[in-house]
Amino acid sequence: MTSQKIKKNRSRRIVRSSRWRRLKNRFVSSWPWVVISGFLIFALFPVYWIVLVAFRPRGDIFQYPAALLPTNLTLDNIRFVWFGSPTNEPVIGFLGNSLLISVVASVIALSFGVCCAYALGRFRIGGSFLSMWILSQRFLPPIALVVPLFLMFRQLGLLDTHLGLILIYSVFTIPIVVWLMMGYVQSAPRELEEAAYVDGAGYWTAFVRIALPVLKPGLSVAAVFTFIFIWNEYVLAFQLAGNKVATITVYLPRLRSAIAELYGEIAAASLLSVLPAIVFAGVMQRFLVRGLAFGGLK
Amino acid sequence: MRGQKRFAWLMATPTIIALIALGIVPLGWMIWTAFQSFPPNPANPPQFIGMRNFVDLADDPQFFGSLRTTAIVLVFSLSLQLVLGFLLALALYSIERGRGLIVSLLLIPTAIAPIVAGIVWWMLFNARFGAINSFLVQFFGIDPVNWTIEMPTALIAIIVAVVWQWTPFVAIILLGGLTTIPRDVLDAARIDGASGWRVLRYIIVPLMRPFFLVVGLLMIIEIVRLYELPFFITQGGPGNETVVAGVYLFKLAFSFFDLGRASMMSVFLVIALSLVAALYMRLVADRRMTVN
Repeated sequence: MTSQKIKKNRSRRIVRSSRWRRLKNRFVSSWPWVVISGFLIFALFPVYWIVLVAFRPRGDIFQYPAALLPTNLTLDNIRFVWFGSPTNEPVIGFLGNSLLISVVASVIALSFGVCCAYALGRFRIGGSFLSMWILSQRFLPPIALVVPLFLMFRQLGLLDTHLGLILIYSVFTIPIVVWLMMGYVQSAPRELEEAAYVDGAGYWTAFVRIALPVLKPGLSVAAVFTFIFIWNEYVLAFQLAGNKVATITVYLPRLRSAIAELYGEIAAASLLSVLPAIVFAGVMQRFLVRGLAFGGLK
Repeated sequence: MRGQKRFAWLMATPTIIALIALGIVPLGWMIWTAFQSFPPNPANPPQFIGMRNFVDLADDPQFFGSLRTTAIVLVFSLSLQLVLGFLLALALYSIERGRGLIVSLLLIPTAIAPIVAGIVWWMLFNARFGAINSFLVQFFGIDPVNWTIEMPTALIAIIVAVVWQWTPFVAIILLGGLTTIPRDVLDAARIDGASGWRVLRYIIVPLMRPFFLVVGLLMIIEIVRLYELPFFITQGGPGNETVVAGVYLFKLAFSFFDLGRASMMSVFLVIALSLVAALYMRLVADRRMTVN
């Protein structure tokens, strides 16, 4: 073997190995997309299925095996749910109840919560005990308190009323608002408010005129959070109300206990009920990545 | 300065009163009713029966069965959520473009009402008209599986639904944690010749510990309160195999109308959750001290 040959061989090997490495690199650097695509399919396929069934005629729904791709399309299911039919009530009243209760309770929770977060975050009253106590309320799930609340509401005549649900939902979401807003209050500059004090503004004026506008982005995030929490809640909505005052989450299982299992109608109603959630996901993502994990540890 | 404090207390008072009225009072009421027996007719007053509810509960195989089922769901869902969620968080962390859009799409399951999540998976797992069996039959020629009415597939169905609903949320929180790790720490490790795996194992994972703890705690609470998914997907069946703690609590209170025993069970759950939360907070606090 001449030295020239060896050199040639070696250089060929180097060329080959660098090509192999590039291929390997490309494969390795594409793994995030493999993982993400897999998760996107897993996360969205059920949503796709709901949409599919919601627009599928009854005959096609009860076919075996179920067609995985869209077949015939119909608006019947949506129409039955919206206007009502012999087998189910119209959904509109339930949506109205949900909307009314969610909006009013959110407004109450936000007003109480932002004041409290401001007091805790700016003036540090009550030390860490008070804020920990308020935050710890978030750890109690509604289901743990449903029995005493049921007894309490029965005694107070609040069962099956808008007022009862509004009260309980505001109280359950106040800790979430305080928790979210405290991070915003602490990261907002306090110099502006101090300047206002020097100019003779009272604490309340400084809070309303100076601090609140700065907290607006945080408030809108908290508003979305509380709204969706209340909109999605089922346990309290079913046990503390659910007859005269019934929300959309109470409406859905009713379709199942009807004479036939109203597949198409359930899908259509579910679709209507998740639209706010989808808006929520869009609004929330920008904040969640940084804020939520961060705020939770502060 | 005094005016400042007074103003602050005035601002916090409405919240404190509201939380006492509808948070602490029901809690106290619950402890009180845990020692009472409720006659079937609500017109008759409840009677104090001492520790009888506690003894009944301690003697109740269904209660322990429900705790066992919850524990099984907890172990499997939590480990899947943390492992898959961390994998997804790492994947999201290492891409540059399109993160915002992908995150909003991934969060849809978490934003959907649990009752709707139950409906969706009940439909998907339906033996005759569901997509999963359709997929298995058409592409793999497997006989249809009676997912929701047999064990252990009924439990698997619930775990899949839980993992589906919460893994993206876990991933987003962990992604938030990843973004707090300073880039230069990772770069320095790279320059010192640490392999990707070693960086992950010895730098990223230890720094991420508090985030794992917090999101783990949130998931434990979420799984202990689990109600809607089993209620819709399996209705507790087959038999009582998928009756989790939340479902059994509801059964006690609103099917058997044994409100006393249900209160006792709530007391038990509240104490258990508080202990877990306290332990977690201790762990997180310890960690922060050693980091500082």
